[in-house]
Amino acid sequence: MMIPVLIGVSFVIFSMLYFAPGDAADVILGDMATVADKQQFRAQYGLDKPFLVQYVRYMEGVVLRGDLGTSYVTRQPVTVEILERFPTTLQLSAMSVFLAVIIGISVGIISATRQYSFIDNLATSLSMVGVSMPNFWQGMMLIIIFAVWLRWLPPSGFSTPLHWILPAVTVGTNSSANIMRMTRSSMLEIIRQDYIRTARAKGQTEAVVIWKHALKNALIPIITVVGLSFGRLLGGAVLTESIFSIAGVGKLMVDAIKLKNFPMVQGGVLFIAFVMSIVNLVVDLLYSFADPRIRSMYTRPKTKKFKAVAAGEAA
Amino acid sequence: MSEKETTAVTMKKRGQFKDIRRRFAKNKGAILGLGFIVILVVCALIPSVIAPYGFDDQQLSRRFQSPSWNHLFGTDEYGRDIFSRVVYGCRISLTLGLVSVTISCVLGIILGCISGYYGKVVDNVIMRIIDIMLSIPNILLAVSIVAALGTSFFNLMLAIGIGAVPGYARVVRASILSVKEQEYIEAARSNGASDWRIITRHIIPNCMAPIIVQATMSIASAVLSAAGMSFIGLGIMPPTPEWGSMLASGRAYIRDYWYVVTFPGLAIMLTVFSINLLGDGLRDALDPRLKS
Repeated sequence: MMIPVLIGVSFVIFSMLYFAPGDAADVILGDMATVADKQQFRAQYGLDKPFLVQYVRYMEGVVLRGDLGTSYVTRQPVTVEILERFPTTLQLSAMSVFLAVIIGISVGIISATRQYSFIDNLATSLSMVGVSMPNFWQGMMLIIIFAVWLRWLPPSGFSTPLHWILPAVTVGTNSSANIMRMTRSSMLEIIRQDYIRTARAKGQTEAVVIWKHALKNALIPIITVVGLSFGRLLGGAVLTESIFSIAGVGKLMVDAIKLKNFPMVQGGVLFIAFVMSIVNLVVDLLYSFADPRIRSMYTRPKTKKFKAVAAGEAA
Repeated sequence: MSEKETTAVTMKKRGQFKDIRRRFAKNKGAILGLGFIVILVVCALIPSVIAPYGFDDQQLSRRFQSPSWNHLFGTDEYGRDIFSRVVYGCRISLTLGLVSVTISCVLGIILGCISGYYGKVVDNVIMRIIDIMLSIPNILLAVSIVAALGTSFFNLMLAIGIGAVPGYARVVRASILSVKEQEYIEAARSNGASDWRIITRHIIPNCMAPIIVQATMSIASAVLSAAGMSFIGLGIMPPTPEWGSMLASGRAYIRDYWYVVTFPGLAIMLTVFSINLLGDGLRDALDPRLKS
């Protein structure tokens, strides 16, 4: 599944940029360049070849050498530039998702166990606000409050742990809203099940009922949401990175688009699609960790029908 | 269909509609959201009446004035009244939201219908394409479309619209699968109805609830992504008073003048918030089973 998707993504993005108006040679070399210069530039990057030839050559490079092309601007390999920036993005996303999971799941559980209480209403309204807030605006407001007015934290950059706080909080609280909503609705459904009543009836403590019996069963949709938001963040929290001037993949992409640095855009999108498909793979693996029914599907697939039924349940 | 039958059907529909309205009216949040949206729509329709100044009235002598009765939200770096610009921005954001949602709605319904109704190979191909689109983050997809087509108002709407197509296609497909095997579809088919008629007259009306909810919610996310795109300079260009681009140009001054970025952002937030409230209310009203 992963490979066809990646081929599809590469084809879509390649053809989109191929047919885009605006010639890379004009953009990069500027108005002063002669026609011969431009011709040479096109020949150097293979831009004078037919569409399919270019695509096949590009994919050859990607698959065989992990070569995503050469940046027009810095004349460096795109792969190198992306990998240089990727750790920063990875770190930011990991910290934000960690924060989001802690806030989202705990608040979600509290909300679900005390449905319609004051805390629940407050949490649901706040999560609604969180979903509605533009990420980048939240970042700016945090900068104004904590960096400009209170002077507790630095406004931009990503070099020391103090610099990490604002971006991670911005992104983390924003994604936690989704996780919280999903946790709440999933837990509410589970809490009404018979086996929860059974667990309570046999005198199990409330904590064990909630954490072991309920949360474990409510985990699948929560994992999905967490995986989705992690994937999205790895894809470059484009806006957050540009607010806090963090040199991550997202900022790299935006800069590349502004300069019409197409190899960089192409390579970046492909790279992000690759990372997202890995995240999806991990999410699938986590499903089987969380749900023995899914695990058993892979250990002894009996008949086609059995598989189809199980797949239907999972979906 | 005889005349009698037709009246019976419409009567039942009216009853349903009343029910839906009653459930909707009980939801305070949804009413609140609807109220705010009405205000926004009014702002979008007659901005010149509401706004005390024009959206591009530059006057350098009154740069960066703090909020006061003359300038409710203060003035920006060119001395333009921020309140007036926010009011004018309603029209842009709402148009953007509506048009892009229409684009994605139409494309998504077509794809979802084909995929859900015909199944098999067609379904497989379409769903794989959807998977591909889903594995590119929405904002990046929009960014690359705008990069390829160039920045313009329409391209922005197209880019945001295309990004939302997979969501619709999935919702539509799922609800078609759930009604496809119902008896009334079989009855229609045994009466000799064409595929087109079955889809447009029997299936789509019965799948409307999730589509309406999805459409409402995605107006909200369209407004958000449009603001984001304008913010990184790939959307609507100044001096057009788009909220995202107002934030972008105000960003340089946040150290000294907080109000330059606070109010346009609040406008975005309140708009999205009220659309979301409305969407939630519609979901609960249209499909009581979904209410948790």
